[in-house]
Amino acid sequence: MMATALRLEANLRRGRPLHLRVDGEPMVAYEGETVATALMAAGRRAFRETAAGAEPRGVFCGIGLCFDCTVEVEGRGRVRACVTPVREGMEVVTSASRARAESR
Amino acid sequence: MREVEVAVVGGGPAGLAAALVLGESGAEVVLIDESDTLGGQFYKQVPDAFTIDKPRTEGAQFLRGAEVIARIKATRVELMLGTLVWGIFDGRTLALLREERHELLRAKHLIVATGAQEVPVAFPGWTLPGVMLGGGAQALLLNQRVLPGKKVVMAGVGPLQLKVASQLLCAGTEVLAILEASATPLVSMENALRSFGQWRKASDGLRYWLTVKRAGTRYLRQHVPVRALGRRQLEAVVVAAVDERWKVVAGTEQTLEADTLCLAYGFLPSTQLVRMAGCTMAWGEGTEAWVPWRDDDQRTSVGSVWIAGDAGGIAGADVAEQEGFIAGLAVARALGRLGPDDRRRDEARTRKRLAEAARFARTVTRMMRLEPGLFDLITSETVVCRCEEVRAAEVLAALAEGDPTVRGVKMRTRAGMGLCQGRMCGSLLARVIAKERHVSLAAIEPDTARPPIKPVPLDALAAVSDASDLAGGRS
Repeated sequence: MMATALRLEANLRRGRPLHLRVDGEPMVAYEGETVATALMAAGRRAFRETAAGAEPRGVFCGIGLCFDCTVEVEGRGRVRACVTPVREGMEVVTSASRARAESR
Repeated sequence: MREVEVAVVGGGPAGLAAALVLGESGAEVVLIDESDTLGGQFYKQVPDAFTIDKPRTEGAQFLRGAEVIARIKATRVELMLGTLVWGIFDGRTLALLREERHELLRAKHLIVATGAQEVPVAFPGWTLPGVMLGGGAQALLLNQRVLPGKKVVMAGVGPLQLKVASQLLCAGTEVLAILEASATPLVSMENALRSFGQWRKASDGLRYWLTVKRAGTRYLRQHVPVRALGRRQLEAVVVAAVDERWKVVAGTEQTLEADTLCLAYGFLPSTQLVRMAGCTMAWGEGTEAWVPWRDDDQRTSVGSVWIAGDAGGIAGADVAEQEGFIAGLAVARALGRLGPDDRRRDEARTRKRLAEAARFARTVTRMMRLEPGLFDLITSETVVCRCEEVRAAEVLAALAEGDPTVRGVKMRTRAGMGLCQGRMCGSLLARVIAKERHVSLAAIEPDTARPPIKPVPLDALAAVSDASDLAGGRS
């Protein structure tokens, strides 16, 4: 499965498993991971759509500078996925998924 | 408001070295970093919740970082992690945001060690998910231990990308090709980089090269990506050969199917805080960016503000560490925590090492100089400001209307007014403006830096404007 294939296992033990919901779907991530890691490990690349052009965006700078990878976290508003640690019970909404649902 | 003797901003090689010498001197030090994990983008530590089974088998950079961090933790240096410094007022007062709470911190001395960011390079399709900066991909790989993609094309200048490619390959990613824009032979890069703090041993460069060779990765010298293709995310990269000035050679295009394109075109100093503090800036030759003026002790034109590491000019981790020590030592002396004759031998040794490291750093930055043809990839339809979705055509139209400065373009087009505050488009705008005006990049002054340097909740701003004693610093 992709989710395990992208996470590296060598010489490493991740933190305890945490349970989040991403666009309503359950997802398991591990303590110490960022929201971006959880999404990318699940094979997700597009995290949001731009306001004007509705263009997909995802991780670009990877270190919290570009603000392209923002997602909606319930109770916190828009956050940078690449520097936001996952928490137990976190509800994440990506606008990319919303766009996908609408185009169906 | 809380007051301390020294605040060090940035927990990379420079900030750690500065905090360490200050901590050892008995000074009251706060070390602040936006991340929850110390080490910055160079030492690349894993989050606290991760456990490395056999640390000895990790790379030299990781081990060195772990060692310095352990030494810091043994001192009385106060760590303020997960803390954003979003403003500086009157050269001494920092506005902080930690766990969504704001606070102010006043320091007698401030050491800015905010490091560098990667150089963004624009071309059609560069906003597609899957196109990312090389250091960001490396952060995913080494800090988070997740593969940034499955089929990767690396593109950039200089030998760092050889290292990233090798790391990706060892982790199990397919790396289809390395696109090296310059014509520099690998062996010169290897020699230069060995002394850049990146390759500790002579054999490292060879090892990376062998890894890449063995994996069958194509090494395409004098090549750049010209277009990224894909509907919802990256599906393919069109690459082409370039000449000495990095202008595309017609008829050389080929398409590589890939899900990830890593861009590694070098670094720019992160100068938001020093600019906001009002430090005098000077054009940094080699670094190709504006950097704060500083004296031999790393003190800027604002007496309470000191600079160390890449934020003062791109020179790599080895220089950063020595500069951090020098700055920390000078501040400890200024505070009277050390006498003028204390640690003189350490200082002499550090200054000698700094001079050597700086000499090699200059060789490397020369090697990584970007040639103008690279920016000809920007078409009128190419997005230049990612946040506000401003295309090159709008920037050119704004320039034609007058006020050909970064600030002028910003006012007319909103380029640079988005969430990243111009970090991604600022250098691109400067390139576009310089090209249009037929002037050198050094003739384009940077935009002013205003608080907050990153978006913060409105109540944080309100709390600061309530602090009336800061009014003088807000002009």
